[in-house]
Amino acid sequence: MVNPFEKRATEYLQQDEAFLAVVTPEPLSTFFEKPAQEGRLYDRLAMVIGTPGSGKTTLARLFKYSTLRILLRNRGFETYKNLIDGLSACRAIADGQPAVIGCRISLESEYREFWEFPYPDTLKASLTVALLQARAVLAWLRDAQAAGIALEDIDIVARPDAEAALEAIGGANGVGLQRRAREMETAIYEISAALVPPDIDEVEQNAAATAYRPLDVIDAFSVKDGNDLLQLTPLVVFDDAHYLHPSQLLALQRWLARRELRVARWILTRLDALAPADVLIEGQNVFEEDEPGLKLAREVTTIWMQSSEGRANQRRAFRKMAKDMAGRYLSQMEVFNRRGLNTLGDLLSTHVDTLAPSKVEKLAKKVAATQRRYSITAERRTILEREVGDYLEKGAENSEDMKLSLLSILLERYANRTPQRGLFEDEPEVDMEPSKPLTAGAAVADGARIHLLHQFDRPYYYGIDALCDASSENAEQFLHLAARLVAQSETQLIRSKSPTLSSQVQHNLLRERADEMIRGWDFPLHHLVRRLSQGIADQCVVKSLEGNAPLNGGANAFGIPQEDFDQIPKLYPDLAKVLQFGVAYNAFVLIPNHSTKNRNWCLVELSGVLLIRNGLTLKRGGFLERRVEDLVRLTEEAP
Amino acid sequence: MARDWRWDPCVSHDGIEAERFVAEYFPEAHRKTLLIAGAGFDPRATQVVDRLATGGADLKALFVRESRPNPDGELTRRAEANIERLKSAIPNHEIVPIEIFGADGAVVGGRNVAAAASRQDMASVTDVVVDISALSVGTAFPLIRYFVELIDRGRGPKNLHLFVAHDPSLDSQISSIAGDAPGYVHGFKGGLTLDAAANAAKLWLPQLAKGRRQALSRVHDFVVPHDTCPILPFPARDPRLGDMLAEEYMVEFESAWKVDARDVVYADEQDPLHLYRTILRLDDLRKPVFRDAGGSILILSPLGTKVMSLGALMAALERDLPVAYLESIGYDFKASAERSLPAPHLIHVWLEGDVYPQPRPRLKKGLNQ
Repeated sequence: MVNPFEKRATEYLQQDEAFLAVVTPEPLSTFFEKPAQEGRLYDRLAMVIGTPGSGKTTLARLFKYSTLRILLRNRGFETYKNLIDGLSACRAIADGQPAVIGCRISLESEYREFWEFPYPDTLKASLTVALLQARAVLAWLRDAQAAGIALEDIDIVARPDAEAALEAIGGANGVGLQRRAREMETAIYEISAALVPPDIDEVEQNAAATAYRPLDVIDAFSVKDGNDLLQLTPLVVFDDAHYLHPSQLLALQRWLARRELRVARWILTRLDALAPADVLIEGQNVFEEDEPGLKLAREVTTIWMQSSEGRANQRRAFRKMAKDMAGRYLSQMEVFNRRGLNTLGDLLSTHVDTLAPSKVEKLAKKVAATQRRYSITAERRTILEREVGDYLEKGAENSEDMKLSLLSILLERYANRTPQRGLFEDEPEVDMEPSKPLTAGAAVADGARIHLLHQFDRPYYYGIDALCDASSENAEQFLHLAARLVAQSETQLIRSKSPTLSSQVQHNLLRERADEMIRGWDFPLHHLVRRLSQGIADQCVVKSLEGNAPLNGGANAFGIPQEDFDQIPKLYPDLAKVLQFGVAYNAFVLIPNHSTKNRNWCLVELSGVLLIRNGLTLKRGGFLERRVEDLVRLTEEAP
Repeated sequence: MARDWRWDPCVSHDGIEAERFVAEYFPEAHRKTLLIAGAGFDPRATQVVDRLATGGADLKALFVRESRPNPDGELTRRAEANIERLKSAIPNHEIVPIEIFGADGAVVGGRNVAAAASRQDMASVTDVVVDISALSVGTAFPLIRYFVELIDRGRGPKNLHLFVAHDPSLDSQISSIAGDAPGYVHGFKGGLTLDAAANAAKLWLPQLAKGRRQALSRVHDFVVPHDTCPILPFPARDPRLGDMLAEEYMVEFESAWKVDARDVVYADEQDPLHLYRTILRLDDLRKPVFRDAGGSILILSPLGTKVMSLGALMAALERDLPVAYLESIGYDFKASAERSLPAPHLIHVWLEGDVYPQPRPRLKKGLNQ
């Protein structure tokens, strides 16, 4: 039985109907709706930046004319309703008709080769741009044909002053446009595919390559679809821009950022397309500060699919999207669908079984020892027990082990907040008031759970929300983690058992899966990323297990003073590369300008799989103050 | 049935026959041979060179030194030792450093090696020998294609020989660290990226190898084939190898690649011609089926042993098939403690030359073959 969670299904579903059935509209509202409403999505270059697996390519496919057409033809389907609403909010659908015709061009491999030609940069750039334009025209026409429109019924609305240029691109009708675009594509392909590049004179003679500028001519597409005559905004999506040479990408960006272009144009790129400095210092991307005639804010709409801003909102939005996506994937599996089990959250129990009595007894003894060590009076313990009891009574986890673990933390905190006594003083136990009142709350409870996880392997990673939070806002990571849980649930169903997974089973499966995923890393510099992440994790674990849980749930990041961090690309280029790949492959998340203690920090936060593997909290914010040198040392230490 | 295949029949030798061929053929008085071989850490780098040099042939050598970023110190030391041996074996030599990756991490090795080959003076050369034992796919394939095309246009030497020192146990000791940019080997795009190929039914034929799951998954995501027929080595020196590989790739078989048991292609681990013929047969079977529906195209990914990659290369050359792969950014070599392993098995394929009758079946180009 195929488990669609094992692989990201959208990439492999070639039929639009099957694709649309599993696509969730949440990212549309999260990332695209606002710029679309503000009119910044289609009238200028949009840069969409995210980690691999964050859903960029899936989004691009939604804006194809053929996809929109199928969606609208089946508008009666309940599952499509939200998607139609989302695309309407993004202005890809207007008045119940497609308003854009999108095409996706992957910039993988082939285009980068132009930069290896022994020609001047301008010629290399113009060859790249000419081939991309030919491919864009061909892709638009192909997409319209896929939607059942004959080439003869496709025309372009050309710019009024572009008669000569119109002739150069093959005229206004689809037939001529396709013929000319194919000619150009073949001519440029033959240059790029040659084992040894032809002489520059030979290339320059073919001046047509540089004169071919369809994107300068096309204002819109006019399409006769059945009885409807639609005017569509052409949208070209350049995907995987990180494969281009940095100068080539810059040339492409500069070309696309020109205001005269009427065609909507997006560049989708992974984080590591940009120079390490751009990845590490969010916002300083896309153009050099001194690029003549270009103002970043005015010319470019930048959409970060993982951003340091509004993280709480992003987490909420991701949870919603992930749950929706999981439901759609689950409904693809006959075993679940047949039984109407379409909500992953329902299969993941949030009830935690209490520890065995022997373990509780061991914990009680430890708490008693703590009390004795700090000479804490029975009255004080009673007060703290009452505080813990009052808090736990409000929640679902009112168990003896939680009580004891919380009490242990509060006892340690009490000891820290009362004056120290002399080593040899033999005073009677005196109950002093702590310098700051001690309270039990959700944050301390998280620390208690982490302590129980490390002391007794009590489940910590369970429930749908934990699963979502462990995914670091990355759809692919979510699916990879969820795959194992779904497979186990499926097995239980097939064996006629309840499909619900106990918290312990979830916890164990997720930890195994995370460990497997990390062992499977094989991206560039993965061994250094592994070394650095493990070093950070080890120190975070030590801090998290301190008796008084000073950071509540504990630490899951290193904080580097922002001004020091900004210097990394210049002073520590090797470390910058490690961080760059770590970020690009979801090992780290960088949170710049995090303000704490009147100082700005850049947090190097561990991703969800690393947190699971090392038993660290999924709650954010706890970090260890460190220097850049500490990061360098960790990358150099033998594993 | 008579087939119109360029290398069927093909002149090839293996084992003792190949060694005898080397000893008898290359020392012939009128032969002037250009030997191209890898000058890397691979212990097989010197095997063919040693055998050619000891026979007293008139040799000129071009040693290709593939450079990858941050090489392992031990591997560099091994490469240096190999280079010393190569230099002393053939005094008339040139060492060409080839950068496999550009400054931005892009794969540029194929272009660089093709440019290096094009600079060679071939005027008096009668035979070119390419020893792929210590060359990577991204380097060896463009190099060989360059000479095949040169000969095809009548501008090259008469004979082109390929050699490989086959040693599966050594292959298993060398693990490759995959880069993150899948692509087509330089010169092996096969027109796949053209609009004309947009509707072609794509069949991907990956050679499975141990420890290459993620690499092959990335190539799969890059190729996005309609169907996948993985190639397993059978017969193989280790008869269970095919089973072990199938087990390793079980998740891919079931989920992403959707491989049926009947889709698996078996190829003799030690005979490059077996895989060559299998691929061509598959191509011949599919072509008429998909002719009116956009055409058919086979995409190869030779990530397995070198001998099998030789078979894939021959098929790719003849039919202009695209070769998708993921370049290695480095290698890890855990040399086995026991050196009593059997000596590498030499395999020779006479790819072009006066041994073949003329006219020969042509090299096809593009999709419209």
